[in-house]
Amino acid sequence: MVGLSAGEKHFIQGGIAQDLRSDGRKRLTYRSIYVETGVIPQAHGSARVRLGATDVIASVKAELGRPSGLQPDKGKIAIFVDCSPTAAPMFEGRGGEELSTELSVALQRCLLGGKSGAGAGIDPASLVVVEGKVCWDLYIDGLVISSDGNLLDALAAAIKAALSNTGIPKVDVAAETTGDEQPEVNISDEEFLQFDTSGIPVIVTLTKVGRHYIVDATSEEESQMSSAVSISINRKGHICGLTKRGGAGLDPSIILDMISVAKHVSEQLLNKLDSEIAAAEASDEES
Amino acid sequence: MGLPNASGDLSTEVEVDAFRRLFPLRFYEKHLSESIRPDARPLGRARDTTIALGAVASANGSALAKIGSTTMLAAIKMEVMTPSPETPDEGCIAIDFHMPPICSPIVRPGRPAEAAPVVSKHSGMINLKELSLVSGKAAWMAYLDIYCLDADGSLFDAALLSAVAAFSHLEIPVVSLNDDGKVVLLSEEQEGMSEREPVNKDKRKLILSSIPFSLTCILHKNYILADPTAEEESIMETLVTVVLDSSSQLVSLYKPGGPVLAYTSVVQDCIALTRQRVKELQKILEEAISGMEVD
Amino acid sequence: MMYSDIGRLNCNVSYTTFSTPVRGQGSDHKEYSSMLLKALEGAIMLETFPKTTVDVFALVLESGGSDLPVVISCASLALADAGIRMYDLVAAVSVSCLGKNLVIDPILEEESYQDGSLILTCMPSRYEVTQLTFTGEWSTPDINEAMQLCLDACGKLGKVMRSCLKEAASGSQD
Repeated sequence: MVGLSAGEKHFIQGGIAQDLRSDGRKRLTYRSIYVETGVIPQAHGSARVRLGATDVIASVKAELGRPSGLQPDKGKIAIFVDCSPTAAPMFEGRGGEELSTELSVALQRCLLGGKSGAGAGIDPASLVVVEGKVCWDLYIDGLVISSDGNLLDALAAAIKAALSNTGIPKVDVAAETTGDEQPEVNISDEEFLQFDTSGIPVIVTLTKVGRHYIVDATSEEESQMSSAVSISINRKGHICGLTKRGGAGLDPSIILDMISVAKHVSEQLLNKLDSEIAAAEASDEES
Repeated sequence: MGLPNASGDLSTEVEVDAFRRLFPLRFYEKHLSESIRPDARPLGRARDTTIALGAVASANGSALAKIGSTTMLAAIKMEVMTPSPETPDEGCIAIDFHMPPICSPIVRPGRPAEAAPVVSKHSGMINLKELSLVSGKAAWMAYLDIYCLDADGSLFDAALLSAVAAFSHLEIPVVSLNDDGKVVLLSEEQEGMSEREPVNKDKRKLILSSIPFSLTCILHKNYILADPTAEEESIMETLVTVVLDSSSQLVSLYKPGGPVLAYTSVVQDCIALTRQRVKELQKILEEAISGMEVD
Repeated sequence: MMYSDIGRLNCNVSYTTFSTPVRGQGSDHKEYSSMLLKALEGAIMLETFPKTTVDVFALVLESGGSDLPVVISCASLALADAGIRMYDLVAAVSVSCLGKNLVIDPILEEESYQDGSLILTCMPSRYEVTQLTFTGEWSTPDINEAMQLCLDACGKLGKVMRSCLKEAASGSQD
C-alpha cells in the first residue's frame, strides 16, 4: 500500500485527467524499457527487464520429461512467479504469496492459450521429441526484484525476452524402441535449437483511474485505480488472454474500447521490445 | 446457568424466544415434563427421514440422507489396486468423513470439527472378498467419502444411513483383462463389442449381508430423547448411540462419558427405541431402492 | 487483524473428493477462490458492515463443466439470502470456443477440447462487468460476439436468480 495524502491523490488524478502524468508521460506512453539477456548462466535462457523502477528477471529451464497421457503430442510448460520480499514492503513474510499466485495464473492464461493449446505463444507441439514418450518440459520462473507497478507487463516482456534467448539442446533419438520402453536419447552439448518467439504476445495493462485509463501505471497510480484490465496481444493483433483486476464494475462498451486501445499500444510496445531484445542479444554475444 | 431460581419467576413474564435463549435448560425441562419437545415431537420419535439415491453422477454409488435438517452426502468411488500379500483375495474400503465449513456456523476451516464422528467399519456388512477381482493381482479399493452438508444433531446416524444407502446404490464398473494381464475399465459402449470377457460381469452389485442402522439418544435426568437436534445436543450432553443390524443384533453401543450415568434399564430402553427405529429406516431404504429400480 | 472501516470479504472454493472423474484430494481451489473474490467484491457494499468479515464458502459437489460461473452465481444468491447488502446480483456465464463455434455453458468434455474460453461476470441490472477473463486466441469480431452472448445470457440468468430469491422470501414468510 502506498500512503498518499489527499493532496497527492488529487494531483495524480488531476494529472491523468489532463493527459500529463506526474512523471511527464502521457496517458498511453510507456516508461523506457531496458532489456538485458543471458543474466543467469545456469538457465537455458534468461532476461532482465526494467520498466522505470520496476525490475524483473525471467529464466527458462528445460528438462526432458514424459508427455501426459491425455496430450501425447504436447510438451508441458509451467510458469511460476515469485515476489522477492525486497521488492516492496508488503511482500514481507507471506504477503507476496497471493500476488505471486495471481501473477502466475494471469501469465499462464495469457501465454499458454486454451486447453487444446490453440493460441499459445509457444507451440507446445514443438517441444515433443518422440510422440507420447519424450518431450521437453519448460519451467519458466519469474522473479520480481523491485516493484513500482505494472508487474504483469514487465514479467510478460521478460518472459518473451528470456524465451528468445533460450537455446534448447538438440536431441538425437538413439534407436527405435517398441512397446512401453523409453527410447534412449542423446543430448547434444553443441547444437542448440532456437524458439520461434514471434508468436509470443505482450501484455498491455490498462489501469482505470477516474474516467480515464492509462498504460504502465506506477504503484502510486495503481493505488488510485478503480479497476485494471490486462490484455495480451500477439503480432497478428489477436487477443490471447484477458484478465480483469480490481473490484469495480465496467461497462461492456468501455471494455471493448479498452481492447482496441490496447491493440494500438501493443504494436508500438512489440516493436520497441523486439528492437530492445535484438540489441540486448547483440551486446550479449559481443561480451 | 447463572440464576436458576430467578428463572422460574421470569418464565411467565418474558417472551418465549428470550426465555429459550436465556434459560435453555429450564426451557427444555418445562417441555420434557409435558412429554413433548419444542419441535412438537414426542420424546421417543425421530425426525422425518429421507434418502435419495444416485445424488452424484460422477461417483459409482452415492446417496443423500436427511434426518430432519441434518444432511449427509455419501459417495463411493471404485479404484483398482493390488491387494496386500497378507490378504490376497480381499478388497479394501477407505472411509473419510468431512465437515466443510458450510455445514455449521461453529465449524471453521483449519479448526478440526470436534463432532466429526468416526464412521467405523460396519463389521460384517460387506464381505471384503467380494471386492476381489484377480486373487493376489487386483482388487477393488472403495473410497467412501461422507460430506456433512448440514449439521443439526445425530450426525453419526445420518452418516451411517447415507453410507449404507450409498453402498446399496453402488454399481461396480465392468473391467476386463488386457493382453498384459492388466485390468482395464470398459466403458458402456465397449461392453458389447469387446471380444474379451469382462472379469466381473455378474458381480455388479455388492451383497450386503446385514445392514447396520443406528439411533442416537440423549439421556437427561429420567428422560430419553431420541434423535436429538444440534440445539438439544449442546444443552444436554450425555449421548448414547446404539447400532443394530437388520436382524436386531447389537453391533455397537457407544456412550462417550457425560454427566448422566446409564443404568441397565436405560440402556435397554435405548436399544428398544433403536429396534423400532431400525424398522422405520429399513422401510425407508427399501422404498428408496425400489424407487430407483422403477426409473 | 487490522482495523478496517469497510467490511472484508473472504472467499473459499473447494471440491469434494468425488466431484471430478478422477478421485482428487478434495483440496481448496486457490485460483477459483481468488476469482470468486474478485467477481463479488465489486458488487457488495462493503462500507455497510465495517470491522466485519464475510466468509463465502463454496463446495463443489459434482463438477460437470462451467464450474466457476456456477460457483459465482450461487455465491451471489447466498449473499443475497444472507441479507448482505449488494448493488446488484452477480450473474456469471462462460463461453467456450471450439474451432469456429462458440458454445455457451460448456460441459466438461467441451471444456477439455476448447480452443479458448471466456468467463464473464456481470451485474445484470446495472449492466456492468465485474470480472472478465479470456484464454486462447480471439479476434475482435469473435470477442464482440462472445461478449454479447454472455451479456444476454447473464441478463436471463439474473431474472431467474431474482425470481428464485423472491420465491424463497415469500416461502419463508408463510
